[in-house]
Amino acid sequence: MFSKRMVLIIGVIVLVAVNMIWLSVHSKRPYPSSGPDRNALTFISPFQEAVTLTSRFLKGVWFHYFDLVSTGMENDRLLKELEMSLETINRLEEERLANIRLRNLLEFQENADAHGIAAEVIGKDPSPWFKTIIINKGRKDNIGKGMPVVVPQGIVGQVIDATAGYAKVLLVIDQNSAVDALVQNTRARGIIKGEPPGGCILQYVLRRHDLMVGETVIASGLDGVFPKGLRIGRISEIVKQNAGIFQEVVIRPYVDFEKLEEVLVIPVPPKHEFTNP
Amino acid sequence: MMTLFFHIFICIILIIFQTTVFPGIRIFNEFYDLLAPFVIYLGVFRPTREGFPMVLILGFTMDGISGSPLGLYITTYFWLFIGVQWVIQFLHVGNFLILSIVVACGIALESIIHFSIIAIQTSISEIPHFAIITGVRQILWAVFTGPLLLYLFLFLQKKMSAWYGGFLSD
Repeated sequence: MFSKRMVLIIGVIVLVAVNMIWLSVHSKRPYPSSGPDRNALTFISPFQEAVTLTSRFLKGVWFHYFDLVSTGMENDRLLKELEMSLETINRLEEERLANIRLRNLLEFQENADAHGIAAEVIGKDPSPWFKTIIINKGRKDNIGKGMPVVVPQGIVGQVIDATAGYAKVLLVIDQNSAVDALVQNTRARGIIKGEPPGGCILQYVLRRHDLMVGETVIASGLDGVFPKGLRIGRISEIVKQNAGIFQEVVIRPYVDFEKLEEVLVIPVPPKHEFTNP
Repeated sequence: MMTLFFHIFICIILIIFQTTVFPGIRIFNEFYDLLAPFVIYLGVFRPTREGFPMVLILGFTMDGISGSPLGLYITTYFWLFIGVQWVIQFLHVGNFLILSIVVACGIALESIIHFSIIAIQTSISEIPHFAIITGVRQILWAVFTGPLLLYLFLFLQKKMSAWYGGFLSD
């Protein structure tokens, strides 16, 4: 009765109509509270969740790992740069300080008529009872026994022994040391002796001299070892006994013997010639 | 011969340490002579024919680098060595406490000898305050660290002997 073509057209029209009706009906209740679609959701979602979480985790691990690796590498690089910078700063600081010290030594050498040999302190006395240092210049540098050793701050001591490359210096704070000295203002004369554990004492100063705490004591040059006028220390205490012709004067040396690094050895004590006015 | 070289090596290390490193560290300014425990070690743990020449070498070396009168360290180490050899006839020096006492007595003996020389040189009549303080500090340091040094020397000696024995057998 109907041709095949006619049946197909009617079928399509009915299908479209049913579809539209279905859609129009369900569009008014878009989220049904039950139905087969929820079962699918219940079944599929855990897998989705697992896969999503895993992939997110892996993605996170992957990116974080590379982030960490790159951060770690960057951290290593920065730490290395920081270490190098600190090392450079430290080296430059040491060079700056050495430069200041050597400049002072050079200026002192030029100003003080003391053309000496600069040397580095390489060792100190192993015993706390004796005060000596070892310097890295010796006989081949024309350093010999009895030569005075100084720094810009004042007198250090004198050479008591020298080998080809090294010399031993007896510090003025050793009890075996003695330097002929003058108090700068009053011209009171005495002998500076080392006083354990690291000070000095000015002995044989006549009581009649009125000395003041804080006055500077200098080398008199009369011992034939230390050039005249070199500073030794400052008076820190004056002890006048009731009896006796001398007073005892405690001296605080200008030189910090704990921090001694470079010294100047004066090969021959300079001669001071008087000129006629 | 190997032992002699080993002892010389240890001495050089100790001397360099106490003349260059220790003076730069304020806390060690009044540390005792590190070679005194070594002399005690030689006296306690080594035979006399091995220890005695070493003691003389040590004393001579220290006299050379120190500002002390020549012969002071030789004298000190000699009497220290003799004293230790005498003491170990009566005491069992295997434990820490006895070793502490031995080292402390050794350091005290060294301080007394050194200070006596200073007293002779400077003609002082009484012991100054600083000398007592320095001596006590040195002894206290020695009580706690001296035996450790002895054990260290002993350990190094054993290691060296084992290494040298293995080297010869190879």
